Amino acid sequence: MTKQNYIDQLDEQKIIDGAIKKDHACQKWIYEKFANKMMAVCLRYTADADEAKDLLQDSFIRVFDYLHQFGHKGSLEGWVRRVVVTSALNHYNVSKRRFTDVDIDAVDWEKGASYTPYSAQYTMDELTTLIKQLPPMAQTVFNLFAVDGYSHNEIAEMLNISDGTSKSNLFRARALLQEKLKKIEQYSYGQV
Amino acid sequence: MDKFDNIDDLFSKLGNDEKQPPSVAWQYILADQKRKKRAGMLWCYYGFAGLILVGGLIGYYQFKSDKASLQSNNVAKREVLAKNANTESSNNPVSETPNTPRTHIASVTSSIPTAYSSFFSKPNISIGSTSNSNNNITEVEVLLGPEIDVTENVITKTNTSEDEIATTTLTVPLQDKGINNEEEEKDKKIRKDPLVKIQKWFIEPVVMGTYSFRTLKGGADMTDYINQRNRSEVRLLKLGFGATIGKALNKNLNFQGGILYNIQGLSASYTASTAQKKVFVEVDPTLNKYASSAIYIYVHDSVYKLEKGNAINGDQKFHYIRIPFLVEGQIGIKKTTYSFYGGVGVSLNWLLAARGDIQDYQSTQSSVFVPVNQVSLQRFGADVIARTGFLMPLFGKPDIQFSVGFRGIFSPISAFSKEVPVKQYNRTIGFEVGIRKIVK
Repeated sequence: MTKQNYIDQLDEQKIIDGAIKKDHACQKWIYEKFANKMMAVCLRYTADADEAKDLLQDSFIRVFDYLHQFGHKGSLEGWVRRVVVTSALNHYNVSKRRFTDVDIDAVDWEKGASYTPYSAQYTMDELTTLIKQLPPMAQTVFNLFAVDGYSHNEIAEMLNISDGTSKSNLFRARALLQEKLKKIEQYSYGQV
Repeated sequence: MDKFDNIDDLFSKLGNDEKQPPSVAWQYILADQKRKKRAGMLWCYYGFAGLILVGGLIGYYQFKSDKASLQSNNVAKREVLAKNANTESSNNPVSETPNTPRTHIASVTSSIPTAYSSFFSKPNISIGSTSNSNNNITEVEVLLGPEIDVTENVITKTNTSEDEIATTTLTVPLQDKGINNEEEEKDKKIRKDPLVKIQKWFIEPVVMGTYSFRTLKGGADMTDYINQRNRSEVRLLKLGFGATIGKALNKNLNFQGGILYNIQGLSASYTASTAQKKVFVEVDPTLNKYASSAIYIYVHDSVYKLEKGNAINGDQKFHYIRIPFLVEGQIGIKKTTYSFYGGVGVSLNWLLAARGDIQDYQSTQSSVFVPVNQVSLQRFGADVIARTGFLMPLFGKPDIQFSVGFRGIFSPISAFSKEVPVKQYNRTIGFEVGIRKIVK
C-alpha cells in the first residue's frame, strides 16, 4: 500500500493532524481537495491569473502554518476559504491598489437600478468578468456579500469600513451589474 | 421580493466555481514547507556564528587590556632571547654550531602564542624544521590551526600625540607571517600616515577663487552693497590671497587667524569692481569626522567702485564688521588623497555695523547657507578644496546664491612640527593554514 493510498483511507481529522505535523502527503491531500475551489476564489479577488496563483500559494502556506488553529470546528473548506479571502484582503490592504481609486460619485449608480435579469443564462467566466469590471471597493464588497456569504458586519470589520459604507457599495455594485446585464441582454436580443 | 435578489442569486453560484490551478503552485508550497523545516537547523548555525562573534569581541577587549603590558613583555622577551643566545654560543659551541639544522617532523602544540595574550590558547599542528645560524634560530613550520597573532608596528605621524592605534581583523591568512627581525621589521614599517595631518602650529599661504551667481534681479539697495551675498546680481568672480596662522589645540579644535585680500570682477549692473581686505579670526570645533562647525569673526575693509549711471555715483568706502556663525553637518568619505562631503548647514551672518562715505548703516542681516558638497584634494603638500552651496536670506528679499569655490592651502612651512612615533598593534584572528618562518 502506497502512502497516498494509506492517506486516502484516513478520515479527514487524521489527515489534518498529519498536516499539522508537516506531513507533506497529508498537506498535499488537503491542497488537492480544495485547490480548484480556492483558485476560483482567488481569481475573483485578483486582477489576473498570475496574481491569483500567487494568492493561492500564499493562502495555502498560511493554511498549513495556522492549521493547528482550525480546531476541527466547522468544515475545513469553510475555514480554508476564510483564510484565502482574508489573505486576499490583507494583500490588497497592504498594496492599497484596489481601494485607492474609489470615487463614489464617479458613477450614476441609480441609473438602471430597477432592472432585474430573469431569463439570462451566464457562464461562470462571464459572471466573474462582470464582477471584475466593478470599481474595486464595490467589487470586493459584492464578492464578500453575494458570493462568499459574509454579513455587512463581517465585511465592515474585514475591510475596516462602516456598515453603511459596506451597504452603499453593495447597492452600487448591484446597480452597476444590473446596468451591465441589461446592456448585454439588449445587445444580444438586438443581434437576434 | 427585493429587486436585487435575482442579481445576488445569479452571482452566488460563483461560490461553487472551480478552476484548475497551475501545477507549479503546489511545488512552490511544498518548497516553502521544506524550507521552513530546514529553518530550524539554521539556528544551530546562528548559534555557532554568535559564539565566534562573542569570542572575537571578548578577545578584542582582552587584547586592549593587554596593550598596557605589551611593551614591558617585549623588552623582557628580547632580553631573554639575547641572554639565551649568548649562553648557547658560549656554553655549547659544538652542539649548536652555526647552520646546524634541527627537524621536528610533527608536533601538536597547545600554548599561548604570544606574550601579548593571556586569554587565547593556540593549538596548532605543525610540521617543520629549525636551524641555528649566527645565534639566530630559524624555524619553518607548516601550520594548521586557529590563528591568533599579534604584531607590533611603529609608524610615524606628524605632529600627533602619542596615540596608540589598535586594529583587529578576522581573516583566514594563508601566507608567510614570519617576523624576522623585530626591530628591522619595525623600521621597514615606519612611514608617514597621510590620513593624519594634525599640526600643532601652522602657517599657510592661501589662494582662493570663487565663482558665484545669484537669482535676484534688480532692485538692489545700499544694503546689498554691504551684504557680500548681494554685491552681484548676476555673477561674481573673486580671487583672493593671503596667509593664515593657526594652532591645532587638539584633534577637534582649530584656532586660526589671518589676513585675506580679495579682488573681484563683476558684471553686475551697478558695480564694476571691488577690493576687499579681510582680517579674520576663526575657531573650528570639529565634532567628529562626519560633522564640523566653525565660528568666524570678520573685519572687512572694502572699497566699492560704482558704475556710472547708477543712482549713487562714485566710489564708496565701507567699513563694517560682520560675524558669520556657521554650523554644518556633513556626511561623506575621506580617503588618503581626497575627501568628499555633502551635507546641510546653517550659516547665520550678522552685519553689526557699517560706516560709509555717504551714510552710515547699522543693520542686522541673517542668511542660511546650505552646503551641497565639498571636495578636498591633498596633493603635493597642498589642500585644494572646492565646494558648492546655496545661500538664502532668512529675511528680506528671496534670493538664492549658488557658488563654486576653490581654495588652495599650501603648507610649505611646518616650523613647529616634529615626527612622533606611534605604536600600532595589529591582531589577526582567524584560521591559519600556511607557512610560518620565525627568525629569533
